Amino acid sequence: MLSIALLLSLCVMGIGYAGWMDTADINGTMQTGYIEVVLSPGACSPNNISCSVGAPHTLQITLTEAEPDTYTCGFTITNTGTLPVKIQSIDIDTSSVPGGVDVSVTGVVKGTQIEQAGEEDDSAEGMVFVVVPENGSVSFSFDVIFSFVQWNLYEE
Amino acid sequence: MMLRGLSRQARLGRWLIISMVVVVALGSLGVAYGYSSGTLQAGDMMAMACTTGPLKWVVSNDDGKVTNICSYGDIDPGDNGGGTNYDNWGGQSSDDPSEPQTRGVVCARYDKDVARTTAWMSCDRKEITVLLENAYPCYYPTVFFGLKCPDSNPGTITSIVIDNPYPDALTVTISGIYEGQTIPKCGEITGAVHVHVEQAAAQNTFYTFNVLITIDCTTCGKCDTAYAYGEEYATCFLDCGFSNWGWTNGPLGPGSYEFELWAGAAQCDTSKGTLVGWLSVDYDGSTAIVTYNVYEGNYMTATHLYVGNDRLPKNNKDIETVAPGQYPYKHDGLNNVTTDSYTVTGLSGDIYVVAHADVCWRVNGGNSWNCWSWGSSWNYWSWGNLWNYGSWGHCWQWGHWNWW
Repeated sequence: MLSIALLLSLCVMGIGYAGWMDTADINGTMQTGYIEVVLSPGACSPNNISCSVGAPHTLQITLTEAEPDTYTCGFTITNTGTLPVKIQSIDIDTSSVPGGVDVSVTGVVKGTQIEQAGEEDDSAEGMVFVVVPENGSVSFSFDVIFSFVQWNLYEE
Repeated sequence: MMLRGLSRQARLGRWLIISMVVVVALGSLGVAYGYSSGTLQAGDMMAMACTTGPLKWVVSNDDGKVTNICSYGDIDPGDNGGGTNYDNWGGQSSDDPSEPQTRGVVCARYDKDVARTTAWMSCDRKEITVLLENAYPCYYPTVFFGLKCPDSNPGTITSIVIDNPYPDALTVTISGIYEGQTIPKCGEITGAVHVHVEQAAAQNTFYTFNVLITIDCTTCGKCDTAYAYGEEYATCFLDCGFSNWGWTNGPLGPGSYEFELWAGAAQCDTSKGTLVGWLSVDYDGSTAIVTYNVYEGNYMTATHLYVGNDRLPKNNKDIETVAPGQYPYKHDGLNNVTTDSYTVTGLSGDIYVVAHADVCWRVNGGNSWNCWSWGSSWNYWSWGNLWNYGSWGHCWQWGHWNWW
């Protein structure tokens, strides 16, 4: 009885367990990187073919009074962003290319990876080939459209 | 028969004496456990800074180094630094995680080190800062952390609140800990924050998120009587012929004053006490607004106030008194408040202020034994559990237990 009374009296005195609230605060900041790819036209030959960059990531190739021959235009893809990229697609708009004319792109293919700016492989060079068959002089233009994607989101 | 009766009386008397001694000893020490809904703030109590928060360690799994916490081994295997086919950060980061990591288990990673995540803990061990750099969709870092109640006391996680203002850009999840989870005495729990960058995250953009974990830690507190101390305005009760400590502050003309609030300053010696808060007095010549404030983490359960032209209040026999219960303004039964205010009207001339409060505060970290010795003695029925906590060398001071 005495012990119980003692315990009760101590409880009344306020001696006992209780808690203090503590907090752990986790503050996060995320800075995202970015993709930035620059397409630059290179040397073309012979003189009847020219190359320029139209819309973003689009090479515009123009042949003027081209005689049967093989025409080439070089280009460079440079990654100036902070994330590696891959070429997701290379589309040649042949709607205005005369029949029999063969157009192709070499040097880069779908899936080619270009590392981020400042790295050794932060650029890639390619070439557009145009073969005009032996059926007279032609003049036409066409586009080569590239699309790029963050390297880990590339779809086969 | 008679001898047996005498023996019983003697035993009873001995128990009575022992009990009284214990009560008086406890009363004089006044050590108790307390409750507060606030949190301690680094800087308010310098001695507590850097020691009181519940965080024990923090590890990012993409900072370029495998971290070993002795009781768990390697926390983030695979965080080996560098990148397999591309290395943006060198030794400061590793191949990027592409899935959440479980503590001690290797997770899937890309073959490139493009992004990195660093995490560090504040000095007061209450805050973790997580920084994801050059992040991109599908990057999936994990930050591990350890939680332990101050002084190795037990506790419970009462809430985990994730504040993610940009759910389209990132997903933040927690694993390893949950609301209602118990932190055992001497024990530590580990949690992890997983951040998944979503496709909709914009490029070259900053996003923020926050996770607030609240833990109700059983801990050692001390409650004691406190008085406002107005330095040059203060006169100790002892100098007024009383045997209790405390101060009357005055005479105060119209103006604003701020006095310290000292607890347990026996003989009016502040070196023996604890600075637990402050008292502000705004007196315009007729009305005095008196406000008690205690530092974050402390709380008050009662306040008693005298404001008047006499140096001390008087009892119903018109005799000076320092007993707080006889002060004219009282707020008893306060619910662990951190501030309390009075507005006293009808004043004139110079006034005196005697401000008393019952205050509880967390006892400084370090030797928690004192607290537990009380707790365990009054809760001696839980001895079995206490014994099971193990790790006596770390959490208990066996030698002191012999005292009991």
